[in-house]
Amino acid sequence: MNGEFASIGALLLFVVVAGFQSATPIMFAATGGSFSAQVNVFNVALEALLLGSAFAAFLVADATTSVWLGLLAAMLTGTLLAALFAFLTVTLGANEIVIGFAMNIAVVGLTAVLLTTIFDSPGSYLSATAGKFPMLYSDIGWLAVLAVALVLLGHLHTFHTRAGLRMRAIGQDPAAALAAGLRVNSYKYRAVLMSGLLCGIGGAVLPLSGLQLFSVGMTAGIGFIAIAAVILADGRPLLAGAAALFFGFTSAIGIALQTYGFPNELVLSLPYVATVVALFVKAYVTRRRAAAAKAAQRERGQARILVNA
Amino acid sequence: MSRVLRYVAAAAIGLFVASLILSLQGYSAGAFLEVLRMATIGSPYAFLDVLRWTTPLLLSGLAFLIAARVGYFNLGVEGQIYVGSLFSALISHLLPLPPVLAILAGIVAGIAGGVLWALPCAWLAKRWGVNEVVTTLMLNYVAVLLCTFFVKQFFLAKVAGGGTIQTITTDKIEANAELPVFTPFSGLNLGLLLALIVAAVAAFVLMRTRTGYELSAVGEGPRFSQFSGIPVHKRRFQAFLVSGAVAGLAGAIETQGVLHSFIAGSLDNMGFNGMLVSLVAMNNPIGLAASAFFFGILQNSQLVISQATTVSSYLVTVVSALFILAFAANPTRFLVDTWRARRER
Repeated sequence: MNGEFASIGALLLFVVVAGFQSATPIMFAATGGSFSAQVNVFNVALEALLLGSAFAAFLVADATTSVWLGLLAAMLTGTLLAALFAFLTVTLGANEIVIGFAMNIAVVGLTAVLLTTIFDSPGSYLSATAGKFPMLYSDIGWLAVLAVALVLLGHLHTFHTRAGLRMRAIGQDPAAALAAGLRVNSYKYRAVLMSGLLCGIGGAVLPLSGLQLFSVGMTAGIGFIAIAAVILADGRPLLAGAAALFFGFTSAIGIALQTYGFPNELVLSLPYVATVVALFVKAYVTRRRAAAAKAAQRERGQARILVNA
Repeated sequence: MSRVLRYVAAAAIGLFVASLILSLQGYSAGAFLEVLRMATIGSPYAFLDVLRWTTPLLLSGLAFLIAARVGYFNLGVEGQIYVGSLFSALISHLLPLPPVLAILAGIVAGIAGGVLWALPCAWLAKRWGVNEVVTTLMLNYVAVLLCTFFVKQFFLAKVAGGGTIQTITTDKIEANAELPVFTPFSGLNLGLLLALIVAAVAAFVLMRTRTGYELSAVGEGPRFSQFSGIPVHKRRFQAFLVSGAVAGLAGAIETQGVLHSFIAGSLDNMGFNGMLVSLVAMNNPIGLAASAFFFGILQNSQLVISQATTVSSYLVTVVSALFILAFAANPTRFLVDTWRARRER
């Protein structure tokens, strides 16, 4: 990008396109993460799932020149990595934060080793054969539409299906759910594997739209941003998707500011700062609401006393 | 017994995968053991270099440990080291001082940097209950970007002849602020002693004093601590800041002891490795030094791998992460448990 935009319209168009572009993988990951959150699994591995599947997509698409085979490989890789996470945390009972984070480090290392081995390139590799996903408009891919659709489907699954109800029950009170005859661990696996599948799609988007490039650690924390979206939404897919869009647009606005001469590094740190600020606002509002509810209850209580007198 | 088994199983898994990757590349199956040997006693300097890496790892492990004691996951050690390192370099440029004072000023500045970077996350966690895992991680990215920005904008090293350089680095710090090295062959410096002292003091405080007891109590049972009159939130907040301070110290020692300037990218993964160091020591301050030494060997192997093989030095990252995965998941305990359950049935 060089120079400023020709008109306000051009600027807005740019922000919308870039916003959807950067929000797409976050939306997939955040929807997936919502399912994990519903069964009360803190899925810190989202970043690892995205990065691992991004590499798988890149590798397969480069070798076969088919983005769809790449997508398939990414979904498979995401699900397999999620299965590992679920096995270690749900079955073996290890700490989710430790495992998720260690998986993230492992995947960064492993993809870097494989990148050097397979493509003979230490930092990043630009593929000439990988191709990219079909675009709906400019740089907004059809997969962005799929992301929005999946957010909606996730909402329906959560609030309008039996499985969704059961998953939420397990998240809120696993002991009660177990007593009611639900197979708690099997639902936990199911939720984490769904996260893996969705992160797989999100990961495939990264190297196979825009530049056909894989670079070490290319996810750059968007998996963690997706976690923040899930926390903001309390595991509700619709809100998590909206939060993902917000973070995507924040980074798009940043890129637009860059063309007005704002320093690169400041602009790039916008989405991360926005994440922290959003978490603060959420905590603030929640606490305010809790305080207000308490006050209202106290008032009601007083009214009852008056009536009784 | 089961504890020994746990370490052995984790080491075996790490070793197996490393050997597998190396042998797929055409190296012998024992190549990784050879790498480890070369990294430890392969040359007279190798061992010194292991100790050189042990220094920041011990401190970054301690930083993670202190927060973990009160139940916080400080995943922001990485960023806090970054800021500490930058602050330590800047103070030397902004405030030239006589020999010993310059060293002290650098260290204090580094500590201040670490505390500054831990402060927002600590406050948000304490006052508003905001999840510290996400905020610390986010601030890591911001730290790297902001440090790069400040160096590029104001403190970029000048090149003779007016050209520009590729690496983002500040000018060399004043000689007065440099920590003395033990030998001219290795970066091993007085920082090791400093780190050992800090770790020993921390171990004493955590294990043998009332403060240490309160911190553990807060971590193990916050509700109980609350009722027994320990100011839970305050202790947590303090521990978080001390954690940041120790991370900042690690950054300062890197700047003043080894790098002699702030170099963006040269501190990568140091904070994350600290988490691994602390986890392997099972958050026990006594075991920390041994654990840091072990990861020091791994860190030094990274250099050996990149010099002696065509394999990416990220191999070592994979090994340490797998080691932690296996260690945290503790598969041997699972096997023992299922075996016992089956026998009882």
